[in-house]
Amino acid sequence: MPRLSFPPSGPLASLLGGFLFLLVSPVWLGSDNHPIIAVPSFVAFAIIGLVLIGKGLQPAVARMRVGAPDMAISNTMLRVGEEFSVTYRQAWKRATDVNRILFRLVLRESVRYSRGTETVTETHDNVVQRFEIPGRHFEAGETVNDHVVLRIPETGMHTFLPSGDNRIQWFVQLSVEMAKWPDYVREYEVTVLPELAR
Amino acid sequence: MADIDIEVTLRGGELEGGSRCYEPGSMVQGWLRLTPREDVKCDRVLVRLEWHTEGRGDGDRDCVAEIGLAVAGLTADTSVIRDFNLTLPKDPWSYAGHYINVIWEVIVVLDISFARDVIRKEQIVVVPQRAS
Repeated sequence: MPRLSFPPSGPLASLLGGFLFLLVSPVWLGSDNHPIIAVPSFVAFAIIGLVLIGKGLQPAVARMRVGAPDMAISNTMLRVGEEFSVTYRQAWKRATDVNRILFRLVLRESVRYSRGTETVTETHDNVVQRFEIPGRHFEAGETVNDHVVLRIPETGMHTFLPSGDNRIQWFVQLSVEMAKWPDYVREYEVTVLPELAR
Repeated sequence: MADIDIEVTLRGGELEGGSRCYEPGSMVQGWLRLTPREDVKCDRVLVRLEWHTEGRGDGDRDCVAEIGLAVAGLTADTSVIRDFNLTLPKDPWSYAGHYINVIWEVIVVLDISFARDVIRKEQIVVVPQRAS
């Protein structure tokens, strides 16, 4: 079965953005602005920077407990209405209490538009199917193996990528929710062809 | 703008909820009746099959088929009828989502000398027939 890979750009973008905000924040204190403007601006930039860095580090923090998942899908070129299976294997590096392991099949609409001089991107996720593995305690070195069956709805839409302005994509999302630790979240894109599974 | 009635009648597909639905890859057949209220010098009549997006994002569109119909001059109060056949591609399907809608249209364009084009649009739905 084909292995699924994920794009690591999200955390990297958060980290870069965070460092950028942190680096820029002292500029406010050095400027000629009145302290009433300069100090809150400095604090706001520093907080945004720290939040973004924290968000960027989240996967790395989660990875301290859990290894990278090994996921494979029965078919990466799916048809509308087609059932497919995902095999999932993941090892724990340290003893961890897991609240639950959640799989979601998501239809994502991404749009990009111009507003004044800026370009805005928005996304809307429609979770069409969920599958939950109940939580439990995992010992260090323990491995979870599971098998999930998902289905692109018969009334669904195929993958649609005419440009960067309008995109309709399908994803399998994995979320390992650990007690007192950040969630370990990964998503994998699957392509849905403009064909019906008969 | 030239004073002219454009009547578009579509055939084929299935009528569902007031919209004509076509299977992707199928043929859109129809005819149009042009009835000018005055003499019109029409350079050409085009029938286009187009999709476009509506919704939050900047628009995308594509003309997937276009045919030119032979119509020379149009005489006042004299109807001209022409048939047309256009083939739909396999995708995209019509779609109504949260941020994105994909709309299909049959568009008739009358290219008139020294005047604004006269355009008539007829919306269609392009979805495969799903098991009920």
